[in-house]
Amino acid sequence: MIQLKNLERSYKTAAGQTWVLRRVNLNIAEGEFVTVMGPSGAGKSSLLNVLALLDDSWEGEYWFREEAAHQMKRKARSELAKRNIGVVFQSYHLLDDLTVQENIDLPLSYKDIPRHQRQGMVADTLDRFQIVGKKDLFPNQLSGGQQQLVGIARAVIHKPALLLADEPTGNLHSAQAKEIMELFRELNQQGTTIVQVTHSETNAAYGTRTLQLRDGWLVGDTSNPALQPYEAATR
Amino acid sequence: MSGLLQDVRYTLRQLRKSPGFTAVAVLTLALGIGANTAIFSFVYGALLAHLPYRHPEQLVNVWSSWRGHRNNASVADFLDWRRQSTVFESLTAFQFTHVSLAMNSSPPESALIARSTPGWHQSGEDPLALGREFLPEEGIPGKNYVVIISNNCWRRQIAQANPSTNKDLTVVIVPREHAWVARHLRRTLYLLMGAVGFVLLIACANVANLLLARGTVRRRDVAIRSSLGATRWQLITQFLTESMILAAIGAGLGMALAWSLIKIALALMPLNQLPSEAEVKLQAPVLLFAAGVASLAAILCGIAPALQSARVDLIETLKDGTRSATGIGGRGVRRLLVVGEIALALTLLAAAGLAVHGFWKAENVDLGFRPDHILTFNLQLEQQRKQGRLKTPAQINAFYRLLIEKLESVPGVLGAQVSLTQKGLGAEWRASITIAGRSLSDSGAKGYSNCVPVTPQFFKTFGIGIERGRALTEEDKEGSQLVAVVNQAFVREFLPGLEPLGQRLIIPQPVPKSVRPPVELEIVGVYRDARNDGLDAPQPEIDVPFWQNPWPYPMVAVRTAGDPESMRQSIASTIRSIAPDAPMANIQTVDDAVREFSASERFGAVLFGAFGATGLILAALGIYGVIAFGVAQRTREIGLRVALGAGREQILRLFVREGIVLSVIGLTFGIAGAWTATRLMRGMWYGIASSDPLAFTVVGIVLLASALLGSYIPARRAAKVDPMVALRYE
Repeated sequence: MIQLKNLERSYKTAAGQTWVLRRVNLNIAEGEFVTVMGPSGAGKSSLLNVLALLDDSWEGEYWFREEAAHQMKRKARSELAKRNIGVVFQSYHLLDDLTVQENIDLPLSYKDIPRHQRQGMVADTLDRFQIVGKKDLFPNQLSGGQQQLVGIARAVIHKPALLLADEPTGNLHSAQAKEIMELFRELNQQGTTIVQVTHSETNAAYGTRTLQLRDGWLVGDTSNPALQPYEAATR
Repeated sequence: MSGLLQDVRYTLRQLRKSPGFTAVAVLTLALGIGANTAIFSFVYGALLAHLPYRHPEQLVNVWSSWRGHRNNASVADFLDWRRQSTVFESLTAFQFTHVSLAMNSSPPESALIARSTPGWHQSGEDPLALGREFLPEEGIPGKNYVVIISNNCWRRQIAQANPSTNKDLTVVIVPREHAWVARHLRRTLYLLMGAVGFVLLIACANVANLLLARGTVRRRDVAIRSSLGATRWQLITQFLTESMILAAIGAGLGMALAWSLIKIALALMPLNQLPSEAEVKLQAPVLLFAAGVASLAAILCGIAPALQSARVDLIETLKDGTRSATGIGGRGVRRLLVVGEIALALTLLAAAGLAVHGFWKAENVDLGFRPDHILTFNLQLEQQRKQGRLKTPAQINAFYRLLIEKLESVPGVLGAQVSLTQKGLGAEWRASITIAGRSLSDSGAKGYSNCVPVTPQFFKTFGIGIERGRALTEEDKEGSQLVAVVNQAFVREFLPGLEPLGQRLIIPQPVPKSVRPPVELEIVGVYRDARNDGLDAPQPEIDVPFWQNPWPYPMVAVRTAGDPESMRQSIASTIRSIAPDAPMANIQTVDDAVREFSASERFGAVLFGAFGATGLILAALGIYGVIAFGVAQRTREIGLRVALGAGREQILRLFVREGIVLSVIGLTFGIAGAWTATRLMRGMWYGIASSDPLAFTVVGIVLLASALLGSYIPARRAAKVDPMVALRYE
């Protein structure tokens, strides 16, 4: 599904160039549940932002379902992301002035989907996530777990092929976190490819594959024990 | 469409959540849109609307010229032009005058009529609702006892009093004034249009600043929407929807404001400035203009925040989920807007300063006479003339001697006099004069001068000082030596370097329609110049004894001890005791007449002053907003500075300096605008040249002081920040 070849990301600073991703080569197949782990500043969120096509300032090759995202202009990338990718954030990032129903409808409103069709899709999603009773509430009227549930519902309403989650349970307590991870497992079993960033080993256990990042380098991959550590890669 | 509805719903919800912001934004826009609509209603009504004639572009007034000024045409000239001209399709003449309207047993009322030659109504191709135009033979004296009346006159004055009659009318009114828009008013209206345009720009800059500040706080929302697939155009549309809704609500309120402004402006406007056909109201074209202005305001307010929103840094904004971010680019745009506001405000204030200064000069001009406590009027004596009672000079003199005697016996009356015209009410008669004993080729030997028959009490009544010689006395009467007194302007023009006393003047017609042979008068006195007609410099004037030059329809002036208006009834009953069929007309105090001198200046001062003050307040609020928002955004930095040793004064200086710098930059740019505005207003205000250093200095100081205040208030708040609270601030 996804192929990254020599993917690199850096920032210009006063001190020179700061690398956050270095020669990342990665293949992710359809249906995988991938966990990205590593210490703070390893480049986990940066990798996720590149995969989500939210970030444009990277170099290398990014193939998404045979399409060369690295050769696309911004507009085409946005279209690709809109069709195929959903993102779940650590801080939920719901819009405070929209109700649960409206938050879930938001990504659909940016596609050319007729209103009645959207209403049907939102109703199905509310039902699927069992939050019909909360559809007219605002985010500040929900618990953290409920807000994250809404965030996930929003991310999957358009049935994306790829779901990206950046520390999805970072702001939740363990019982809520378990609920969310169970949901991710269920989605993955239904066919959604998931890539999550987490510090939690418990959460990592829900995945089928774990990647390790350190200082921007991909240093470990449970599906590729032969992956050379970064010192070797730089020789 | 559903996307637009969604944006509208979302925007309304957001605005309801922020009532303070919404109120400020809406009121600011209402001010700008309302002011523009109000002034445009005048521009449209007076200058742009189609006149109620079929071919208005073919309708002209024809004047004669005297000393470079427009003058009425003589009957002889009119007849010659009509006979000889090949330019005009038709040429008709008209003259407005006051008459008595008497019906059966009702007391006579004064009324304004237009005497016209046959065909006058048809010249505007404005068909009569009923009846016909005058026939050619009805233009001949003796056959001219026919009238055309307006619907208003019929309904209000005739049908009401005499429902079953249409006979025995002595006079009727057709108060149809073909007034033309004064050039001065045209320029004033266009300049006012410019002034309110500036107010609108300042208002839009203020609202744009508010929206930019809100946009900074809403960057997270924008980032989320962008991450969910919103295109740049969809984000821009959302912000423009917000500004459109604010502008629409502002326009609604603005219409109420415009309605009030129109009423106020009409009340302040000098008399007879607008054509009678002008309709100044909120009519369809004006409302369309308002809609256009509201749309423009929406775009001006919303475009900067909309474009800023599309430039949000997605990654940075989403990274830590914080709700606000310090947008350096946004701060730059806000500062630019404030600089623009200051520049515009300075231009507005410069115009206002000139107008106010001109008004002050006009109000304080030395008139040369005392206008207080004088009531003036004339008497409608047509009936008396027809009955043969005021035909001869002796009859006229006897009547007015009796009148003056009776008036001076009324308690509270200090003096009474009659003259062809009164001070402050304009000169009505210019006579051709020649200086006796001088060659006609000498400059100043021949010309025209105002000529006013006055009774001896004239100079005392108006408090006019005599510079040389003497005033007129009761001894200057019929049968005695023919004399005159002249003003200083007359001496300057006709007798420069000569001794005026004893000079002899030859005047063919001292009074209108005089059929006497030319008279030779000796100058016996010179009086100090007094402004007769507005603020213009006094014109040459000759005052001749009324008793030697009687005129049946003079104006009467009565000086009273108390309020002259309160003496009206007692004066009227005194007049009725000697002339029951002679109503008083054109009653006014000289104070009121003189107040009209500065009516244009007053109108300009109030309106330009109001718009200037509005611009000033909005600009000061603009600076306040920028500094206050900066304080809020930099609270953590302030706490850190204080924790590191910064004193209160240093924090104060930090923010006040920013406000002052912005103001000074704005003032610098504004100087060009102020200079342009003053050039455009050159000659508009009395006694004001295009450069008025005093007005500019005052205006600059006022603007700077306002900006200082606008910066000081939030700076004071910054100086009180508790470092411990600030360092925990998020």
